[in-house]
Amino acid sequence: MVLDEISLQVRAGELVVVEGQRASGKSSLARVAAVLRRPDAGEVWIGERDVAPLQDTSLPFVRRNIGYYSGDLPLLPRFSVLENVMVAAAARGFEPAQARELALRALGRVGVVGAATRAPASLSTAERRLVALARALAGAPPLVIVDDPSAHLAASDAGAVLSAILGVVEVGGAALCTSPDGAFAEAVVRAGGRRVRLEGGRVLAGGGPIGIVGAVARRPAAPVVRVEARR
Amino acid sequence: MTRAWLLRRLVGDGRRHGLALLALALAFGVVAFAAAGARLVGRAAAPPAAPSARVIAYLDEGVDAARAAELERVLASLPGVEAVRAVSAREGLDELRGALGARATVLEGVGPDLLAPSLEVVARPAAASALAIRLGRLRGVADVDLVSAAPAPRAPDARRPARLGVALAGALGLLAVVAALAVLRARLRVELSLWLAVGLTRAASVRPALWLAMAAGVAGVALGGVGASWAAGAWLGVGALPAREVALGAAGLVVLAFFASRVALRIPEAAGAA
Repeated sequence: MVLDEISLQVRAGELVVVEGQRASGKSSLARVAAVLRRPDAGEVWIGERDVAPLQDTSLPFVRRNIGYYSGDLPLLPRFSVLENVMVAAAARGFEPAQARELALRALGRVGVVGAATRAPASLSTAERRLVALARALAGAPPLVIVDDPSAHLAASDAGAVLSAILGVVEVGGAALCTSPDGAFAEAVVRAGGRRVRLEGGRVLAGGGPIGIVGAVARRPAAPVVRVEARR
Repeated sequence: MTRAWLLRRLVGDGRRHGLALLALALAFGVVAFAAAGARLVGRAAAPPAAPSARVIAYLDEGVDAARAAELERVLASLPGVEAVRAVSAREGLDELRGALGARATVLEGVGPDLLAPSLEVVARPAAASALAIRLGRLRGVADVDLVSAAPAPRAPDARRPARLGVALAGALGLLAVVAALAVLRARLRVELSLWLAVGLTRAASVRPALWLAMAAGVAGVALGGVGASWAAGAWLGVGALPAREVALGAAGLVVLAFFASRVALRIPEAAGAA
């Protein structure tokens, strides 16, 4: 595991962007926070529970409260765009009719609702990424983790992505983004988010062990996600 | 995941993976055809059943009717015994006369107690020898005569080509099952990984595909069984297998279909992170 002595919290109503170069441990951090990977040692708190020691069979019940986006998670080629987004809402327990409505709303939020009936193969790379992001946002999960959302996107699309993520935060959700893109991180900070720099698996903060740059707390709340990972 | 979603996924998966499921059904059909065919060919090639053996136990002179009846009852309960008949001295003499035919004149002048009363036992050939030894040890039995049936001559196995064909079909069928399941797994792998990543349990992720694979297996087994019965009737002149045998064989193959599908569709939990 590339993460080393990292400690990070994201509170309800808060957007945190973890900025770092390639191989700095951003994606590992995102996967650990999304409960898709266990840290070698340490704690991962989702809400009021440390999920690191949970058995594999319990993890799905945690995951369905997390909207996770990564370029590694592909769209299902034999499903339509709408169905691809509906699967996440389905996993969160919504009936098909509700899931359809939520999926259309999520697609609208990232600006690709017009592609709802198309097959993923007919989409551009940027459109595919936006659809995958809509999948993470569908059903308004309380925690959204977005790994490198601005990759392969034009500046205008990246703006739409940020706007969609802020939509989650505005309704009280927590959002954790990772990005190697300084401009995107800067945009997050301008929008009221908090920036954390990561290098070599460690959080940098002016030499301190825990680096939280420009922390913004909109309201006092218990952390939605707290990751303390050690090698 | 709600029932409505399960139904939706069943219909969707059935449509999307129809060809792979059809291939799986056909593969199980070939396996079932081979399994039922093996039994049917075996029946067609089986030698005719050997006739039953006869064991005659001659009773001591002092054995009264009550003891004879008790012996008859005991013998009837022994394994391998098909029938027991008490033969009195007079009946024995009459049977001997009948057997001698024209030469029965040699018996003129003999009294009705020439022969001892006896118990005539009809037994399975395989059990006859052991039965004769046990009879000889019984109190009240003077002598035992084993009239064993000669084993039926072993006919040359005229069904050898059919046996080979069935074995080949079985091997090919199993290979086809493995191949069809591998194709289904490859087609479903990304989908199942995604279901895991969005928070479905492993069981819920796999359930629709497993049910469809099972349905394909059951359909294939039924198709193969019916096909084998028809082929055996048309080519070998053999009737249908007993219902119990069919039910047991089909159940075995369905269990095989279930476990094979389950193993093939087992996607590791870590795949959700891929």
